[in-house]
Amino acid sequence: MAGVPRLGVLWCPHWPVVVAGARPDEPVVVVHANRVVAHSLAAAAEGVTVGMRRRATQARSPHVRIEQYDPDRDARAFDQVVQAVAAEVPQLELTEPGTLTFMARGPARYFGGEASMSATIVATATRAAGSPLGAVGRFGLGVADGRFAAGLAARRAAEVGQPLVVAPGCEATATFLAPLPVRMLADVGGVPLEFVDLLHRLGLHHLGHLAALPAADVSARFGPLGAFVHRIARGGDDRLPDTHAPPAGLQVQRVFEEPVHHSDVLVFIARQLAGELVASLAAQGRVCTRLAVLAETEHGERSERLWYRSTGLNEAAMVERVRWQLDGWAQHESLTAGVILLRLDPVEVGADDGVQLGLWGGRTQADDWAMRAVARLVAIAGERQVLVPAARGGRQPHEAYDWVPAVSADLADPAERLSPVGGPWPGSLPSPSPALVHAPALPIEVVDDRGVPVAVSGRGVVSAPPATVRLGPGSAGIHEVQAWAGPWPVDERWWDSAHSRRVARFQVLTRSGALLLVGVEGGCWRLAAEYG
Amino acid sequence: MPGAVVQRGSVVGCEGPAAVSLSLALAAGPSQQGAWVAVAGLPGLGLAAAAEAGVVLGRLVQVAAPQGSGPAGQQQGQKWGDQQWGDVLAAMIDGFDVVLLGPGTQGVKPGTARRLVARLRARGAVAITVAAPVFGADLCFRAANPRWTGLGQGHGVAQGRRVVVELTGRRVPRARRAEMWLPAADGRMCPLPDVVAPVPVDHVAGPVPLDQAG
Repeated sequence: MAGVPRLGVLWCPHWPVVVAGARPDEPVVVVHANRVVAHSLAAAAEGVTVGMRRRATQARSPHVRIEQYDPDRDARAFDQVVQAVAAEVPQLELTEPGTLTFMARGPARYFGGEASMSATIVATATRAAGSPLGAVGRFGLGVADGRFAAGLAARRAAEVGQPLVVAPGCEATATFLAPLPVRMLADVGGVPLEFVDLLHRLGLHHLGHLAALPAADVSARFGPLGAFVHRIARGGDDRLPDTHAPPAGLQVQRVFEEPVHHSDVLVFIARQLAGELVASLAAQGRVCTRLAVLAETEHGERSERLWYRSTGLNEAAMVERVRWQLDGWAQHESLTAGVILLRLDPVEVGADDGVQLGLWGGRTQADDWAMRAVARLVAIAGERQVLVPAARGGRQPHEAYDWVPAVSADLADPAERLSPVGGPWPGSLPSPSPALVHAPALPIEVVDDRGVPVAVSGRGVVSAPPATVRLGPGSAGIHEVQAWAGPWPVDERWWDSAHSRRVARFQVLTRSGALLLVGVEGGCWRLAAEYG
Repeated sequence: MPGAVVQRGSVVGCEGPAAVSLSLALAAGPSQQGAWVAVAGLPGLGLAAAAEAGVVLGRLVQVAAPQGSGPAGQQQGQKWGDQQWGDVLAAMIDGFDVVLLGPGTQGVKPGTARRLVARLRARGAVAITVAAPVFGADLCFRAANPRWTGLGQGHGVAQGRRVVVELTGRRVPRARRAEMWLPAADGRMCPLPDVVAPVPVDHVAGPVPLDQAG
């Protein structure tokens, strides 16, 4: 079919696991926002799948090693492969670490055939990736008409261990696609998962089933998306509808008078440029699907890459890719001068129909940044030091909520974690709640105006009104009581002699205006919280 | 009121007796709009109070130093030094739009603090400090004259606190004051009807713009 480019796709399955470094039989998973993003073969053998929750993974595979998702690290490591392959093929396009697309026509002629081209490129890539690859993964290279077929060919090639070349032409592509499951449309083709599920539920399990239906019926039943999917399944043009080259003049660039040496500054500028670009595209109802990023130094060294994402690149995605590109560039070439030019050029744009921003959709940029920061903080500070709130239930101020380690929580979906626990908790204090909670409660002294410690009888009768509270040593720790309320007795678990608690709580307002929540239990006074 | 004043890339200091409540009220505005809030150096933060102030607990993260003791803890083996705090706070600033820094972060040296504030400005995040003057403050909120209502002598329950919130800072030419409930009966912070300016009888007290108060 004229116009459909012949593409080669180089794909390494579960690249994040390769980068994490795993022994051949070690189950390793990479987790992002508490869900599995990539797993090793050994983990797959134990039943781990992509999208599974962390705890389910541990249940299936108790010895699994869990690594945090780190796209920067993955991109840096993949950059070595990209550099190596870029020496063999003229123009590459990157989507995410682990996948690489290139135009196959030119290199095929250069290498004398697609088969030898594939073999050469796989060998180059494997050599560049180094030792961790051989143990747990291998590259698959697929050559076919169009991105979708080439991507699927690459997956098949990775399974088999041999590059796979699909013959050119509609029929050959359709024949190749026919036995493949419909789910590949979502995984590789960027089609929304709900639509693919619908096809599945209607009994269309393989692409061949879909291709066998008459085009008019499919279009009538499913609309333009159905028509598009049907066309793909028949081996047709798989370029997303309504993508085209944008009108000229949309590129944004910044020329620096002084060469810039720090990548932080460049990333900051890139953020501004990306913001401008996204805004100007959005004003036309478009989103950039293919972005050319160019950085040039004073001495003429260039770094030029094409980045593609079927769902469109938002500002954060653009900045992320610029950062990957700059990191890789600085790492692999000793740059002799600072950068004087940074350009973002939208090569291809598509209609902006509010597509999902991320793999698990519905999350914002702030959510993504926060989750990555949590992962980094866990790495720096430790798992037990990074905490998030969880509802626990209780009538004491420190019991209603608790802090739990962030790694054990689903940050993307806090509703379950924070839903109120248990019944009405009679005896709990009304709002406003204290801002500072002491757990365990601090021992203090509360005395009446004769200096005798205040006591509360079993019937809840106070021996004398509290006059002074001693919070700390010295005269600075003595506070006069201006107002107070209580006792509010709590008799917890009276049926359980080992765990029963009888506490009488008071609110005490000192003359300096501080409100304290104190309690007496077994004759000992403690400061439970302060309203500060 | 306070949410409108806070600009990205600035450090807001809260001092005085109601510092923690003030900081929660300040964080509540951005949190309701989707920002994530990270807390450090403030062990014992009351989560129920935070929730009542309006902070969304689903977007709140705390980083606790090990042996989480207060500011003036003894030298314990695992306590964090300046270097470790620098790394942790830098990661927090990079990832969160609002960072709440309590007295526990006072172990940071002034040089590190300056670098962190520079990073904050570049990133466009907001730092709200509670009794942590080492980070400096572009704006400083201080609550004075706290008066709790609802408590008697042996009866009642604390229902709310009226304070006079004073706002000072480099960009504020003269100190501004406003009387607020902090917290009101439901835990939020809200302004009192302005006594100075004449208010129509049927006017429902809404948020008082800061430049009209005091």
